[in-house]
Amino acid sequence: MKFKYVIKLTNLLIPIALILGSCIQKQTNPHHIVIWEMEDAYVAPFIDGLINEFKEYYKTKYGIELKFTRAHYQVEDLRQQFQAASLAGVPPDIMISPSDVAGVYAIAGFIRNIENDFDISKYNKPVVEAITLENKIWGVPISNGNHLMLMYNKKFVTDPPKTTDELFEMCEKFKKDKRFSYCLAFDGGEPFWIMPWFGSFGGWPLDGRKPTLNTTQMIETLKFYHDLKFKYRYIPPECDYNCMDSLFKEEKVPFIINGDWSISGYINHFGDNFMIGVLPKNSKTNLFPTPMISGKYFIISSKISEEKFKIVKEFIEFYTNKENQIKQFKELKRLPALKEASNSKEILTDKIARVSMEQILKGKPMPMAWEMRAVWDTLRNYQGLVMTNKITPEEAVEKIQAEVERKIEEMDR
Amino acid sequence: MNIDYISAIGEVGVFVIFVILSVVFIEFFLYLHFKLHKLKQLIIIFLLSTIIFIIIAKCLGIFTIKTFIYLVLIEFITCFISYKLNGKNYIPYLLVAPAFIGLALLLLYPFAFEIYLSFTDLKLTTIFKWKDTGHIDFVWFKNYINVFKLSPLSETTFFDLFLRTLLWTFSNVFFHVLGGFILALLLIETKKMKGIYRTFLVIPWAMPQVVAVLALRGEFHSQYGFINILLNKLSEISPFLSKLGVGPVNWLSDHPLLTCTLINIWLGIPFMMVVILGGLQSISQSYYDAASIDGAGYIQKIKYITLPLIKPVLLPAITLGTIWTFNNINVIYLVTGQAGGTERADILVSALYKAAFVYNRYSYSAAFAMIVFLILFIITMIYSKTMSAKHEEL
Repeated sequence: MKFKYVIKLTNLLIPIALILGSCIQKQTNPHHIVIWEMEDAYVAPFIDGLINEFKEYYKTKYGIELKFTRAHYQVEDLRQQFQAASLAGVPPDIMISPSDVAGVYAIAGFIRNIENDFDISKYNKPVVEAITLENKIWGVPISNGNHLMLMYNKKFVTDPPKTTDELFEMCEKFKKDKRFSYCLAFDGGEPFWIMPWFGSFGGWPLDGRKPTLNTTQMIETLKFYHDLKFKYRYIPPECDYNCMDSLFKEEKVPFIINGDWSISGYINHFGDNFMIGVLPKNSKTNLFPTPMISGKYFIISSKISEEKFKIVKEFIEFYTNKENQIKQFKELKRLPALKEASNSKEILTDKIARVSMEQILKGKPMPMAWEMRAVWDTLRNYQGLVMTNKITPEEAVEKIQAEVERKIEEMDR
Repeated sequence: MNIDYISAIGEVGVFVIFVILSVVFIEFFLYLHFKLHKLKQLIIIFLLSTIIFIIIAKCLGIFTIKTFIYLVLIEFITCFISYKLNGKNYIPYLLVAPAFIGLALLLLYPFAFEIYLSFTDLKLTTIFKWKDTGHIDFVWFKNYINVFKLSPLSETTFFDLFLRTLLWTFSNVFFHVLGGFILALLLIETKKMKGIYRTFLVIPWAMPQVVAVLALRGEFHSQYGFINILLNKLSEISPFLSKLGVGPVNWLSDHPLLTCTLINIWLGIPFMMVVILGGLQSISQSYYDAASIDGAGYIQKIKYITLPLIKPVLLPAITLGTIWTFNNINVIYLVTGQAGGTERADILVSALYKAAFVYNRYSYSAAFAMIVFLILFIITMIYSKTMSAKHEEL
């Protein structure tokens, strides 16, 4: 083997590698912020707009050009991708997400607790509570709510029903008139949608950190759900999020149960024909449904360097300042997390904000305890089995309780 | 040019040069060892290399006892091979080494790590400790026992999943072969526009699987899917069919596994068709002519000529199809929903995915994966034995 050729080749390649290497923007560059989010497509321009404004502001203030990379994922994908990326040691710097994932991440050590870094007293208490675990705060609130409400098309409904009996009466009328095949659309497979009704029967998934699902309230809730599908036939038999959204937008159902995140999209679609109402009181128990209240949060990776964290902190404070919180409400119809913005004239005089706030007051903060993860994953399966007549609600609740306890034990072992 | 593009080009360039330099280093390292193969020379090389490794590792700040042991082990194995080769016939080793090391890094290391993980206790509550200290508790065979004792999901046990996977694999492969065979026979008989038909038939296979599956999932929707609209129309047109129970079905919620199977059959037929068509085209027409003279019918020709002659093509395709179908997570994941979805369509691999990434049971999932690997390994071994027996018969 002629070594002189090898040495010549090596001598040639090393400088090339060094030149090319200098072109690479290092991942550790503190001026490059990576954000992952799970927002609907129409929210992207709002996020990008604020990012660009912040970049301008930062350049004017410090003379440094920042680079932001925003990646979008579906809710569940974001959870799994963030987990995988954290395990691989390459998580994004910040994530925009609801609070339910934070409990698991906090336990796993993937995210940073922020109570010593931000002035949390500026934000509304319930929205902070929803991201608090064992007296530590794991995210900065962006919006208040993330809650389910009854939404309706004013072309077909003048006043929203106040009780479930009223709702059923309306639905029965629609059915007789053969106006609609179905009256109400919601994501029947997703346990988040069952929680308000569970609350309306007097139940709640966790008592502190203990699962409380093997209860008569849960049986009643599952029966109520089952009746909506099989007895009354008010809800479409197979309907996921996209399905319910399409049915409502195509005016194939007059009512939908959806979250505050969808309001601005529906306003754009329906204009003045769209309105929201409080979820109707359960006529059987005389209790109001209790949607889970949390919000959207900035969740920061525990791997972030201190140098980068300073920039991220400034960005988050900019993003959640009073002007931008009001702007967020105007553009996305999401209630502000910042107290000062919540009490502003723009929010207090808006009809949609008023109803949304009324619904928030009837809701309960979403438990951040990581035991909630076991509840979501288990409930999804058994709820599906009840809704396809594979098991009875009575059998289901026993299995749900046992399975949630098993999962918690496995995670906690 | 955008700075991102320049950065990306830079990254690729550095990677390519890194690979070239690594190959040069490996070749140089091995050449030196193979040339100086005497025991004394090897001892000197062993000591020198170890000292150089230590110095480099210290300078780079990556020196640990673990890396030291690995390096000494590599050095020892290389010296041993060199000593055994005694300076003869070392060129093949030099040529194979870079590819072998590349494969070892890409396949053997993850595989070895998977085995290691399966004996430990990595889960949601221990990840932080592991990331921080690099230490995980050893639990030996506990995860392997738990695979059979504790359900990977909520309801479905390992044995249920195993039986379901066998049913899923068998039904899919059976219909892939049957459908592929029928279509290939039709195509070979077709004289006009054969290319156009073939193109249309290959579309499901050529299309990205995600697009094909999601499109077909929509067609199985209980209200707005094409299948139910068709069934509805059929029951309206023919009261007889309606009496027989033909009508709309809640495919996704009531029959999730059947829906997945139907979609996967549609996706898998083109591959088998192409393979079988290739086999059919290689059969000489003279066999069929001779059989016709002897008075053989169409079925007899297929039974005694076509099937035996396409067997060498068909058997590897069936084995591949079996392994692909056994390991097919895409269809089930996309049809039953990514957010956990129903468990009634889960097979072994989709349950494994959920155990790892929905329920965060990493070590348990590693043990589960090892068992799935063993099952597939046994299937492949049986196939290899059968194939070699057949070759010996020939």
